[in-house]
Amino acid sequence: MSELSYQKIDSEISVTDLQSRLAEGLQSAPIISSCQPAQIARILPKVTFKNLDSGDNLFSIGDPADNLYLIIRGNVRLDDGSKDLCHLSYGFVGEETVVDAPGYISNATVNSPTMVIIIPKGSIEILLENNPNIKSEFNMSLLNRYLKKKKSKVEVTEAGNIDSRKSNQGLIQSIGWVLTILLPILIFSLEKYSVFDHLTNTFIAIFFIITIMSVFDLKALFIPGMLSILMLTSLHIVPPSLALSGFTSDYFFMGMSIFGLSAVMLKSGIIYRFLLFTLKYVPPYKIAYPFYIFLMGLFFTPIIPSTSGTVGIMAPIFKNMVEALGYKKGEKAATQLAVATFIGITAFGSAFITGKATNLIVFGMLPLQVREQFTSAYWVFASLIYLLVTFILNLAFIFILYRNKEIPVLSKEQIEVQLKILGPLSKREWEALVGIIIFIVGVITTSIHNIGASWIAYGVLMIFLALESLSQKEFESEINWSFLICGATMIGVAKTISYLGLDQWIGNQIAWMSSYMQTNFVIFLALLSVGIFLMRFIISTSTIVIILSAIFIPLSQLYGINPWIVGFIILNLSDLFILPFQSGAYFNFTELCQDKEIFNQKSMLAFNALSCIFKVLALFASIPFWKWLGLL
Amino acid sequence: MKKSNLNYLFTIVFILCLYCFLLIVNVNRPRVLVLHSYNTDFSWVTDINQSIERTLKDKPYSTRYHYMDTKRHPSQEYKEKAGIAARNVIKDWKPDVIIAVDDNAQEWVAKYFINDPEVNIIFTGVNGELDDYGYDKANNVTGILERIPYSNLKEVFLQLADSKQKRILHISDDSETSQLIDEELNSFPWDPLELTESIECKTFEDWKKAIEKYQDKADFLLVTHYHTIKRSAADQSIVDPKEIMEWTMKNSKLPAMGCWGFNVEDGGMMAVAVSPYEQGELAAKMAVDIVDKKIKPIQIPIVTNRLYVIYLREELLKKYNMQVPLMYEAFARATNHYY
Repeated sequence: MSELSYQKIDSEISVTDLQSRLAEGLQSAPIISSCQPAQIARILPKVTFKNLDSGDNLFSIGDPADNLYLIIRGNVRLDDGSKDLCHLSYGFVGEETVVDAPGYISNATVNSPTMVIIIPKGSIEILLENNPNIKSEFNMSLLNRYLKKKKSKVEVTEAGNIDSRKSNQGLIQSIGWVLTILLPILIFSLEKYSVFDHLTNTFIAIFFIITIMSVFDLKALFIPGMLSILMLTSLHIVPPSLALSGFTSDYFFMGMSIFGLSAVMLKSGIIYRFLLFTLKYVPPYKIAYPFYIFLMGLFFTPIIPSTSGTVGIMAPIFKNMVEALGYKKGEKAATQLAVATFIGITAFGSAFITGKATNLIVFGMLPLQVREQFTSAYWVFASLIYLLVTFILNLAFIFILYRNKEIPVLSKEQIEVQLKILGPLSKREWEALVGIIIFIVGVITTSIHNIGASWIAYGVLMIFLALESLSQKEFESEINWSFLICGATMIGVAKTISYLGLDQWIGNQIAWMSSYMQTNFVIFLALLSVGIFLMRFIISTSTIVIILSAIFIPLSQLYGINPWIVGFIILNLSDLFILPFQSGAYFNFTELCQDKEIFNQKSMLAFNALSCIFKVLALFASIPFWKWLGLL
Repeated sequence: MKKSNLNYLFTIVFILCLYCFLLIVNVNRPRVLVLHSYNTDFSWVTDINQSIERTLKDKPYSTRYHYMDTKRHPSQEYKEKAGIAARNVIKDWKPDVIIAVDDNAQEWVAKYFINDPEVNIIFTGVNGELDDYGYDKANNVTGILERIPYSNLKEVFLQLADSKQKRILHISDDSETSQLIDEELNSFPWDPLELTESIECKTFEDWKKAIEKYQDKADFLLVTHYHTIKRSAADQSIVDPKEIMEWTMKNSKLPAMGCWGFNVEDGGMMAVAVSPYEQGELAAKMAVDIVDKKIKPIQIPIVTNRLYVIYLREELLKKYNMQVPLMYEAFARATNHYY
């Protein structure tokens, strides 16, 4: 919006005109321009213009941070009480309001007649609903100002690539739809040649429908799942209690609770505070920073069951660190830090029951006896060798391959400013802290009180709900209900396979492979690794986990292998990727870093491929340990 | 104090009281681990569970089930690892009472906890002798021995047989349990009947050959266990028990009698069976005595099963022209064991 067009606002104009100019101003503003028009429309009635004269004070240090200001014209000076921080003629001031700081940490004084748009705190909540990332962008904006650094320009995504991918996707989806319609017809028309009875054939048709819909990405994963429930129950293939067993299993409550816990941890800001607080005490040695950020990735893995969630927290921290340490963009030191961050986040997800959402689906598909055995603590214990091998190999190679001569100079000032913005621990942070302590202590002491990890998590969720640490609205929006429904429906599908005796039949058909499960597990693991690696080029992680677990978990019981091992292997192998398009987490990471040059992407992908090899090696190394535990 | 703060305080107090209550109740809840040698695909197992659940239904115990699944996986290697896994469950969960069902649970798990002051062991479904597992010298063990009701079985044979039908052929797999049964069978006084031979088969091929060979050398088949039979010397996969019984009934002109209910469920003609309900119920009652009445296992006498159950399959009774006393039919029908 040109400055000229605002001249009219000084004179009398109609209310409609005023509103449309406010909308125009907001839609063209940095950061919030990415919000949906509907959200901007919702906040419009609460947003106002204000004209200020030279020398007017917009806010002072310590004032409650209640409003965010968008400077339209004029000039505003920011100072920290002793020295000038910057002079702004356009953009935002008062970002403290967005990052939940208790008060402003600078004085804002008008230098020349200025016009601002005032956005009250309540309206910002509306903007954050669907765009939680803008919070970190405001945070960066605030920090950069203090560090006297220009905010790096947000790079536009590779629109061309995405468009071409979309066009290919259209063709693939059409093929998928044709198969979805034709295959069931084919199965029924060839029924007289089938070795199965009518009910089993019907189920096979259903299984094909949901598999094709998932593999070809025709609909969100939970929709084919829900469809399967409708078909299984209405066609009386299995009793409703069996088809719906996923909804009554502890998987559902565990999943719901973990998502709730994670939401409180993220929303309260305690994770961010913890990161800053610990970063302050990292010794000023070159090897300490990659080690620290790698360790943090591992530390947050069991707390946040979503890799994207962890990436959302860690990517801005990584970017801050590169800038604060003074590393050159794209050079070895910055890439080392990026690799340490990303591998730390993604390498250990399957080693903790709460590390990834798909772990919960596998957990739900395990027989009751195995679920009781693989409580949170035992899951980690059984993954111990895997954890150690991946931890040591990844870390060692991060240091070996990225040796560099850059000297890090961490600006403690930045961390101090960030912590100052956060202020003392808020009530919600205290509640999150107490909640996570109860959960950890509860899980460790399960053998004393005999309450399973699922119910401990559920108990903590109840505390959060009762204390409103998690509001009703957040309970509705922050818990990944579609994922939970998808998992629950797929548990029903997996149980149907066993109920109809199809597991035995599948076992016979792939006897050449599944017999290795019993006779030579190393070969079985090698075959499964290659198979899943190839499947990952065309099928998403979640789909692979669901389909393969539904088939191989019942089979493992037939062959006398603990089903957890097979589930664990599938979880790990389905995470492998070598190309960027195969991983949503990698895509998120690069996007959230907002600067494609900040690290060397080719080098990062090469290291990731190496890390995939480490994962497979770690699985092989775990075999003797699993034998020792009597699981294999 | 502000109204909202008061509300917050009351919420915390309520949660604290509620969670303390839940914690205390759970910490003090006695734990009973039902450790099965086999898996739930075996009706013997589900019937025992049913009777345990019925007996303990009003008791505030935490009951957990663990299945070693050694029927489907009879190799020594598997039993060893199933034993380690089950022992880890016990070490981790720390049950007050272990109800160990069938011989493998004793051999690979329960006997490792003999004289452990923290654990009380109740065995059930045991075909072996007490000294096989060291229970004769244990102070924390009691239970129920499982013995085939040979006298009742002999009585039924005599009722079904005519004066010329005297020869019985016993056929089974070569599992440890079958070896124990074989010893018992041979020491039982069958007179006026005659136990012609007792054959233990490794493979389905052996089984088929034995059935064909003895068609004219016996009058009755006595079928006990057949769950660890392998397909052939080359194919070591376990044959579905149903397939074995169905083949036997189709290809044998000898009427077959079983000693467990699964025999008829798998397609057999008749069974005079050890009652799984008795085994489960007695074990559960012993658990109640130990937990509620604080009676030490050593003070509870070891018993042998007393009851038996009749299973009948009408179609095969007709095929072999067997006239069973009406009382047996009524008994089988009343207990839902008439097929």
